Amino acid sequence: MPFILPGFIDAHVHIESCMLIPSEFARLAVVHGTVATVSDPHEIANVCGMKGIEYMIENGKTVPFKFYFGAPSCVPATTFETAGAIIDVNDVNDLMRRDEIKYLSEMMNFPGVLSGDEEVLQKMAAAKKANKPVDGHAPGLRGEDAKKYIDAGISTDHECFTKEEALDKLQHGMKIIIREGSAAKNFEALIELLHHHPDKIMFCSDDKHPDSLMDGHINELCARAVAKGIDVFHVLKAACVNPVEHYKLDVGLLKEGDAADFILVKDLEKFEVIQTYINGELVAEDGKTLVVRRQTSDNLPLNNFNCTKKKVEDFAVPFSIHHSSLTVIEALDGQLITNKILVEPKIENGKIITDVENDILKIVVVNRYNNAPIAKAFIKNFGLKHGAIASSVAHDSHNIVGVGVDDESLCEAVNLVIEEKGGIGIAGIGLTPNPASSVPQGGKVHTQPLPVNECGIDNEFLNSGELCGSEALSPGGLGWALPLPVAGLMSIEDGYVVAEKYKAIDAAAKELGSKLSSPFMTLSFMALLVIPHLKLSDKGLFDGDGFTFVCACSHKPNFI
Amino acid sequence: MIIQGNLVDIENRKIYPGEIIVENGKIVSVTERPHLPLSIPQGEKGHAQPLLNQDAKKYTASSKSEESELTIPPWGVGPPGLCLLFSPVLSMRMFI
Repeated sequence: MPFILPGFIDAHVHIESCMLIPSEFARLAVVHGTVATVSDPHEIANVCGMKGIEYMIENGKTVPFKFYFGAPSCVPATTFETAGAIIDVNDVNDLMRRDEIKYLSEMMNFPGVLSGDEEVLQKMAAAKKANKPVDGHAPGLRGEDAKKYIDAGISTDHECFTKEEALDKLQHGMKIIIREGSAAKNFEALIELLHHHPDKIMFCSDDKHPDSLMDGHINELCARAVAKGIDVFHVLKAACVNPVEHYKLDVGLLKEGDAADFILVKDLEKFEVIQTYINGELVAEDGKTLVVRRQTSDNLPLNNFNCTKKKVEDFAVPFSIHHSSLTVIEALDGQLITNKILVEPKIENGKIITDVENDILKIVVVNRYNNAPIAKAFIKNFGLKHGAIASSVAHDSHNIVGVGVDDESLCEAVNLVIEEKGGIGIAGIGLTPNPASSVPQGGKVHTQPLPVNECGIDNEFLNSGELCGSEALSPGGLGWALPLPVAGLMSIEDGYVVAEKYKAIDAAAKELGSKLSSPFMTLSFMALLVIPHLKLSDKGLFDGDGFTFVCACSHKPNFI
Repeated sequence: MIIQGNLVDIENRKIYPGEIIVENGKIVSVTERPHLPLSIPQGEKGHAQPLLNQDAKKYTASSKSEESELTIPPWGVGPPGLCLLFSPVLSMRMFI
């Protein structure tokens, strides 16, 4: 007989990161036994404000899935970047009165908490008044500062990346949400904590790309935890019970009188899901979603995108004879944090250019809300040998971030995103020495026909094999974009189609030379100023440790 | 709607054969059914025993593992057709 257990809950997720609107996210998630999410609409709030939050709530109501949302606490995330909206204290108070809002979401302004910033304290007070918890976000915070942060009333953190940091926070009474997303992966570092702290651990994805959601969700983490010898009841407490109790969710836990939210799995090792029920309705069976796709008739999706196309010369970085070293962002695969390194600049025709041989590429952030000068810097570890990639998914303000080997490709990739009013773009594909089957040929992208039945969808698009959002010939090769018309963050297409498109563009980025496991996900965090150590905002290069801007060109002679 | 299977009681750390009855989107009853074909060990009187984690890890719905202590095939005893009676989907339809 199958095993019947409560459904899985993602205890902290930005739905927008899947590039899917909530109704499509649900269609993919239920297949893996997920029945609810504790969702933070922080991304769309940064772009569209309260209208964006309303959109997420209302769209989520159109499908049989339990979306619970938080009130974004930090919009804009910092004053060092240009965002599309502000969520102020009055907005938070309004949101806290709503039943759909279960908590104040990640308080990432931990310096504000520690210094007693008035607005921060008022937002937290609004949550306390509504008897709703406050989520944390304090990567690396330890010792007395961590205690002060927790004592202020912040009860969870999903940003721990070492066991020691998590233990420190646990000892001060905080609950730890173990994150395993498409870019940030902390499972291996933290899972052993579940042996001794089963009441204080939850699981989350935080940011998960569509291809990854198609493959698995919280069920995967359960299987991995059990494989590591963690008590299966501890694992299920983290995956099913703790989020319900902490956030006071109306999700059933297999008790009389509960909502009929449960799953049938083949075993308690791999957690292969046979059926998923939400409110007694069968929503997934044998790997196929039964959630009906909601067609949108919205010809003008909610968005906030006002910049115009750029010119190649806008991307140049002039060299000054005073520049003796270059401050470079070092991206780390599987991490949101970056390192700061110094390198010798490569000069050509009075400009600092990329050094492909040493993997020093150019990174830009383009203000999407207004026409403004482009912020430029250099970055290591993206590994591109040709072309460029760009995206309007760029935490937290979601301007356009791009990385490339030359200004022509960068301009092309950025302009593809601008042309679509949001999306992810790639340029220079035709230059790859060994183009993969997923790389566009002759102006079209072709893939093998999908096993449609396995996906549980029937989409002529997939059968056609044509995979092209938009296309354009760049000076040195092909470029194309995956359009994300809702806030420049989400597609309105079938979630499975988006996942396949994303796989193709991800593969194309790797064909350009990137060795990162998820180049676009890593790219999207290179403008995330609240995570140290060095990031690029639309206003300039930013030191996340000192919370201040720094100059990309230094006079220090200590090269690496 | 009635659904049968090995119920996982996370709070009380036990797994037992049973059924849940669902009406109007709510669980109206959760009942232990010791007579159901088991994929977990039987007690002396045929009642399901609470499973320790170590045991729970061993048992699967289609377990053929040598380490499993199954004495009854996971999908029931008797001719193959009878096994269908214990299919959760079929059971559910019968009771709707």
